[in-house]
Amino acid sequence: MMSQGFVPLWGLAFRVVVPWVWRGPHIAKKLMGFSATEAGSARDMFLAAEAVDDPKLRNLFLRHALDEARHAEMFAAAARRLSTSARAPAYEETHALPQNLFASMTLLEFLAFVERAERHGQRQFQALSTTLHDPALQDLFARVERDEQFHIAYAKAELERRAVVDGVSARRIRRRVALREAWRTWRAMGRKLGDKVARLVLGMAYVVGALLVAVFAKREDHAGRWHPSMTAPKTLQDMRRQS
Amino acid sequence: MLRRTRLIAQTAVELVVGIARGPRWWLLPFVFVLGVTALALLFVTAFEYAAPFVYTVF
Amino acid sequence: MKVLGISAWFHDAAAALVVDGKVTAAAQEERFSRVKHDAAFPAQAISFVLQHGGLCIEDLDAVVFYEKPLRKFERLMTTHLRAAPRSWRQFISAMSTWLSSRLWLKADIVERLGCKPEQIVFSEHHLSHAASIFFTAQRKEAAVVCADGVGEWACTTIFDGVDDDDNVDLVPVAEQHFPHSIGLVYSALTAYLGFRVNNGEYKVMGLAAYGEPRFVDELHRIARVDDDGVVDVDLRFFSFHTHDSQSFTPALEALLGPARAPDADLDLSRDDDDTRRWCDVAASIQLWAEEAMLAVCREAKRLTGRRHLCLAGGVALNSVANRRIAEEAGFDTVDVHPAAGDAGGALGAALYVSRVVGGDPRVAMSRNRLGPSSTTEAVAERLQALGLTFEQHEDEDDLAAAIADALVDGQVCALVSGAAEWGPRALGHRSILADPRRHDVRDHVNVRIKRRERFRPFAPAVLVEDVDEWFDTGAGADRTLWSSMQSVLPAKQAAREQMPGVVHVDGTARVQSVDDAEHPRLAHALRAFKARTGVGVLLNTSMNLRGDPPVCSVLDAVAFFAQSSIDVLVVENCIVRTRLAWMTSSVRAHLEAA
Repeated sequence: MMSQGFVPLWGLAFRVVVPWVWRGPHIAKKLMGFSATEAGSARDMFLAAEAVDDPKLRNLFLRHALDEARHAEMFAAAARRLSTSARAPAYEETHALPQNLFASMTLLEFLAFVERAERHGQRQFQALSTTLHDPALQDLFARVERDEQFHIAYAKAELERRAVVDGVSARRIRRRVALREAWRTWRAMGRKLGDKVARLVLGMAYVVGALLVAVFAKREDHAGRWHPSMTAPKTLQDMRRQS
Repeated sequence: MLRRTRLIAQTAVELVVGIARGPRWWLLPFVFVLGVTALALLFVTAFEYAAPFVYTVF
Repeated sequence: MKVLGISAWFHDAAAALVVDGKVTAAAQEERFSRVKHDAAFPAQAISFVLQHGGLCIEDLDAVVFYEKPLRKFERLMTTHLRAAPRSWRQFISAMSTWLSSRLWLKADIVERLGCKPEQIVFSEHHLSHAASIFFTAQRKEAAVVCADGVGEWACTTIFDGVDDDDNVDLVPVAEQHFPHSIGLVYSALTAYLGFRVNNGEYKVMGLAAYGEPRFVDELHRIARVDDDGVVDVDLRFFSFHTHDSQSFTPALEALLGPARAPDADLDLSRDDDDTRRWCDVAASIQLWAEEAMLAVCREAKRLTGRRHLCLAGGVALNSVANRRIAEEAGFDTVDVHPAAGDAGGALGAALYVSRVVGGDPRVAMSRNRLGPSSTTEAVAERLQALGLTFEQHEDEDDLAAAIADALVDGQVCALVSGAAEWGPRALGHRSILADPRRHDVRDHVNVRIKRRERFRPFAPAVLVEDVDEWFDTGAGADRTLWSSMQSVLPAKQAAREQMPGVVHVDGTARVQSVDDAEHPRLAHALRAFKARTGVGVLLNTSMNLRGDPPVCSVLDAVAFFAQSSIDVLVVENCIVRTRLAWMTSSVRAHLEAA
């Protein structure tokens, strides 16, 4: 557990970067981003609570989900206090990848993932609470960090206990999850880059297409009026057409 | 993979034939441009695993 | 026939199963994924409906998608080229989605469901909407009007429906095309008023009651409505055809004044010029929409000559407009599907295949309660496993008495009973109930429980035999709308005086008429409440926090109980009054954060 702090190099880098990033109107935007991320985590934990068979884990996942939902509200409220026009990003902006992680992993992998993700969050919030100079934000991050400590503790305890019962190595599972996350991050970076390339290519296609045929489109009469409707399909064969 | 490719091809043919037979036949050159773009994007996506390096090459 | 209907990838993904002409189950994906208006492929909803029907994919005669993707793609290409070069941003974002996935949705469906390609068929967007109401309204004939943002090309469509012993058909008669859309104009003004599109339209309807429609002439100038219902939108004022995230232009702000910042605080007690102006804009767009829909419905009457009217599409969720249509459009009855938005398209597409293509017979069915449910045994087991203390009432009279006593004591109850509602309205199956006679009940439920804007009105659930006592029902052409809260009624003086919590500032209420057959537990609770107070009316609102979809499962209900300051949670015949210690601190923290 990272209650004593984190790797000095990471901490130093954080202390340099944070005051530069966390300034002015960006703070409200960052807080709203955190709010959306916490809300997404809450959903994942709710889905896990719904799906898991073990009653003890269901209770833990539910409590974890409610903590995340509460964090989402706290971050959003803090953002709105700083800027009344602060707006939560749409769900898609923070969750480009498919969720329902519980369904895509084994139970032990999920526990390892939770432990890892919460540890990352706890490090981040601990650093933010010690680096930022705003007392209200310091208090906010300190409160969230305390909850993350509970999440790390239960995930770690449950992972290690169940690994023993199942006769598998908890360390190996953690490593597997870490590798999978690294691969996921790599692909996400690739997607982001690929998205930019795709947009460039599409922009060129637009220019070419517009030059070729836009004049035909613009010449169409598109004033408002009643158009006669096409006949509705009557057979399954008719309905197999997509156009 | 093969079935998916076949279904995609069928859809593409249906799109082209549908437009060619309809009143907006003049969209065909644009559909062709988009088709080439789509192939380029599919090619790029297929190399997602090589990720950033591939896009740097592009 | 066994038909699975799917809507996905645009708004409100859903799945519906129709077997031999009867809807056996239907649900929106948002209820499972907990993402409001979730548009992703409805894997969980599909799993639920198939499980409920005891079927697997191989048993299905058809899997029908609710619209024609290639026709929609053609419209996108055409309209982007028409608006070139201003449409380049929207073109890039739309095409990157379409070329990478949406064009190939047939292949996607095959892959995800494991079905055969020949099982997959495609309905048309407005046809799906129209079928959802026409084949559940149980009318032998009706004019059907479908109005929404846009489907493939059509924004407004008139259908002629026939469903008798000799003939079953739903014939499209006339349609208006993009961009001349009642739905898109309303959505653009929703965005202008700072609310989210496809989510905030209800809020505009509620806000309208606080204003005067002094901008309606301006709106008619920029979005003309002819006597025959033709809408002509001046695109100098709107940008929904060129931009994804900005649906109006600076020209609109020059006409109506500066727009309200998205999600900014709206305090109606602050009587400043801007707040008054925004209320007046809301009143104006509401009146514009009512007049547009009335004109379209009158044209439908003229073209079809039918006595009954069915309404479908997102615009049909405007219950204030529905009231006017019922009173003034000249039809004997008006019906609206409970899920009039895109989710209903899944059900309508399946019904169309079953009834028109397959020739399945007409079957009486509920169209309100089609979602998941839990047995009392499963509920008790789940609550016990969570460590919650609860009372279990074997006798329904005792249960109703306990609920009524809590309500009379001023407590707010959350009720989970039976199958979840189909559509956005809470009808007593996933509802928050409160005593409407309390003067502070609206603020209490809005602020402390649902954590939403104070001006949002609440709706009354009324015993069906008592509706005329409290509300002015007029000719009653919209009588069938009352059971699913799709119309508003003027409140009589006694209701305004005794039930301020459920009468909106303009003196109307979006009534739910409750009968024992459709909503037995709610009816029972109402009778028990009436026995104690003389008033057979309760405040009824959906069980969800701001930004969340309505609860669905037992766990969702417990999570809601843990996050809100609801006093009593009733799940089937179990009553929970006490939170666990950590839940209590969670509620406190939520209230501080709000």
